[in-house]
Amino acid sequence: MSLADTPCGPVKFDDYGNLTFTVYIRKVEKKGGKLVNTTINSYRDVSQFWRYDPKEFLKQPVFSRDFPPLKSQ
Amino acid sequence: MARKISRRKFLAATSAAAAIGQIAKPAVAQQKPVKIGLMTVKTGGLAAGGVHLEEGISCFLKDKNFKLAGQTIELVVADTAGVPATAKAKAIELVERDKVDLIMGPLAAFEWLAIKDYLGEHKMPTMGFGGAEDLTQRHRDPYQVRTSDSSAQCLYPLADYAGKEMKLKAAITAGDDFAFGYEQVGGFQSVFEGDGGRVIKKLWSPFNTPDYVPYLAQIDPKQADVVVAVYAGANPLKFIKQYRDQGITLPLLGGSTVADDSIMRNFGDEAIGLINSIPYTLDLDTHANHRFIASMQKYFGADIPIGFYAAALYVNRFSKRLCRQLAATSILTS
Repeated sequence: MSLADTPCGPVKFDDYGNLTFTVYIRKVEKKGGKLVNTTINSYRDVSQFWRYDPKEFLKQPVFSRDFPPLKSQ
Repeated sequence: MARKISRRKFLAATSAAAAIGQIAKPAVAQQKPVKIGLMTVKTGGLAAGGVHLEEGISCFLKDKNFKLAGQTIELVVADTAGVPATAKAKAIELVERDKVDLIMGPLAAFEWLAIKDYLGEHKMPTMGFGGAEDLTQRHRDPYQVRTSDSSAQCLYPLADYAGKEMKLKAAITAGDDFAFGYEQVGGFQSVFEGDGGRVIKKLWSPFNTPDYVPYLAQIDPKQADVVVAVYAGANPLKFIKQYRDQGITLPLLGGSTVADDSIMRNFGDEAIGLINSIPYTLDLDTHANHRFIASMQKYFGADIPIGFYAAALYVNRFSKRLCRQLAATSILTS
């Protein structure tokens, strides 16, 4: 069993001790009388920093009730 | 000294099993088992997920006959009840009485935060499950890694999908009034607004809210084209039921805790159409996933609910980075 072959798909640790992995986008459907998730899209190698530069990302405060703030409408 | 040797054994065993790292095996297999302390929740409101964590690691170890690279593995399970003070007491027991070589869990971020410094003082290799962003960002401990997802991690691609594929423009978010909710919404908002959308309102309700109607009343379909729900525990079930009961027809999106495959049997038809994002999906058509599902059903019965919590702990996600850090502590050279 390697980290390239888990039930979740390939996963690996980033330099900060968090995993990057595939994120599955799914839609709840009813099939055969049961509610199930059907995968409709997937994103590979999703990091905790998304597509942002980690160093720049870490300069901003952690997400909170008021951050990011709502923009004025 | 005994613990140092057993940590070395653990590294040798797990690195070989996971095909990572280049750490030499001991010349002669040691007799003393390598101990993994699992901190999970078996009683209280988070028990459903906690039981699935234990099933996942148990299933993995059973498939390996409790042996990794010739080393016997012993699993010690501690029930934290989802209470930080209990988690602290259990952590002390695992470290000082049971002398475990590695801790997996705890389940919830607020438990992990309560024991992070204690585990750090003891340089205890820890594979935590809680989502709090800063545990692997601004305040990380070199011995502690996360084997689940950071709170915002699944919300980034969800927001990308909402903006680029669904062409949604104006979102109202709704979630539990604590850090896990804030961090999920922060992630969604960052990407959604980066793609030209706008979060126009954020609704926060206490974790134990019995009635969401006062919050649902603040959702104006003329202002928004989507609602993003980021509830945890059993709250998605309650919220989505009341959402439909109120006749709201806006599309509903959510993160990794709103529609895990293990809770789908608890929903009624109100959940149909819900879009969600998560690092594990039962319908993933790979050999590794089919094998995992077959093993879970073999050990726990054909009707066992299977979802991300079990899948995340099925494989031993031991990191090369953690191995390097353990090596640097002289554990491997002593």
